[in-house]
Amino acid sequence: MSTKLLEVKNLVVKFGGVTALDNVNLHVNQGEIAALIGPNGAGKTTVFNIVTGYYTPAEGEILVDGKSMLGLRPYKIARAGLARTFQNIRLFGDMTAVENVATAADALNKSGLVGSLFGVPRSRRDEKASMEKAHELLKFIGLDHRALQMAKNLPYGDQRRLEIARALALNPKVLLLDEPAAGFNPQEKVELGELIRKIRDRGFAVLLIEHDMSLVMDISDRVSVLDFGQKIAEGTPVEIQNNQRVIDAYLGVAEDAS
Amino acid sequence: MDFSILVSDFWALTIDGLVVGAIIALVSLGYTLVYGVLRLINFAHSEIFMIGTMTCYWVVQRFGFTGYEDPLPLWKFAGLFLLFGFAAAVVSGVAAVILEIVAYRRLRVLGASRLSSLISAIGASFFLVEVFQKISGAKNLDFPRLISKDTLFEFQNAYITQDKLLVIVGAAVIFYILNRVIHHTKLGLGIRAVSQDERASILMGVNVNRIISYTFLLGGVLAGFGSAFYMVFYETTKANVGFLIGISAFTAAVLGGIGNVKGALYGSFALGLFQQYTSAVLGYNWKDVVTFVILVFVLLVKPTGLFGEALQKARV
Repeated sequence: MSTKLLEVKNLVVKFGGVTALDNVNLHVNQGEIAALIGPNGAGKTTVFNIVTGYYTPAEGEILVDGKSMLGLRPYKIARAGLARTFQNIRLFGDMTAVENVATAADALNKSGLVGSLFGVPRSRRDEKASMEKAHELLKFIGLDHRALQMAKNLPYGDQRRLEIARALALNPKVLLLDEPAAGFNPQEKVELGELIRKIRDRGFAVLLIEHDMSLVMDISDRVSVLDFGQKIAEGTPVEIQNNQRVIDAYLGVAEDAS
Repeated sequence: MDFSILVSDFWALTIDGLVVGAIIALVSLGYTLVYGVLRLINFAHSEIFMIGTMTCYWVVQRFGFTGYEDPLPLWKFAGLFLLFGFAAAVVSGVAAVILEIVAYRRLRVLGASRLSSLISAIGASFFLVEVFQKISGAKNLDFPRLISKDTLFEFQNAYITQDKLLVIVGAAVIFYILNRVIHHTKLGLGIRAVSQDERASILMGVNVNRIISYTFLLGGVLAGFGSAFYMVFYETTKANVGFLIGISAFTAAVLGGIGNVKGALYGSFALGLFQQYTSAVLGYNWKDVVTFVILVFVLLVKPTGLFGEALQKARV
């Protein structure tokens, strides 16, 4: 059957006395777009912060392609195959678009920084390869015409796409997208959906956090729903849309009057 | 005030300003690069420069030059210069890396406040000065005249000598290489990425601790080359030689906008020229006073400097 590229088992996360995630199980299969949805504060971004190593879980296991990520330093987790974008764009604003992407591509090349400082041939070759890869990814994402512009000067939508290109430069096993459609108009959302499909077809599995339900239901192969730190449902878009617990969580039931 | 010297010797002062500016710049870059990645003023950086000057002195001593011989022929001088220049670069670079590990890394790992690191920096600076006072006997160490300082050619009352030409051309080569490193290498992209968003760079696979170490290395290497030029030009050093040049370099970094490489370069040359022009008008004793006044003035009036960010509200 399909391989699980990202697998989160029995994840428990506590901030002080508050349990942010309670025994959550998630996985992303090879070649699929999985979505993680839930009301605000359900713990979606916390999942991203945990799997990328920013916080340490109280309990549970995180596997990337079968290898445990627990205790690994965040930059190693990134190199091992989990790359993310941010809900609030965090590009390197004073670097050009292509430099943003090349920075991530460089993280994977094995030549050391001493060689880089003294310009030894191997480093130069690797750096050139990173640059070429960065240009290629910009082309893939449709930003090659902006390669030499400063990231901070790009239009908003291009900045979002540039973040995706930068994350792809890490050759991630799973690409984590944190609300990529935030601030997009309907037309841009459609284009984004196309792009995410294209990314999957290129061989990257995708885990998507998104509030825009039409986008989620349109492109996802599988949807998991979080509410108050617990997974309350998982299934195909159609199953999720008809799940009573999910509907209650989103619309609120009578005793849940907040 | 007497402006007659400024007018009559304008080009001579300009040449000297460029020479001094180039030396200041090589030190200034260390402040600005480290500030970029750590938001920390590495006040011990002036001592990294001092260690470079000491290295030059010792290397030259070791080769038996005491200052009583005639200046060397050009090719011999070039060989010797490369030798003590690279020795100083290596020793200063390594010293800077050790400084980071000993004085700052633990504090950073423990999440100490920036103030703690600043105090640690000042402590490390005092420590190094005192140690080298002991070693050098607290006296001026005079560097032999290795290269003839006769005038090569004259230009509008400015006497161009070999040593000044060496500093300007040598520094220009180093700045060119540095620009290449900053813009086209893994190290340069890493340094800039960490300077702009440390967390995002971690999540893009950048090993931040490594980048920080190499930033110190790069700053130290630049200061080491700067110290070699300094020794050829000024021909003397002592344990606290770093203080005034350190203040000049720090002022230049703030003037250009700390954290900004281009700013440090412009700031350094501006400061070098300004020091020369004002000392022609006010007298040479006023040179350092002018530097301090500029530092205070920039911090009060335009804390962002020419290109950079405000020291007072450094990003957290």
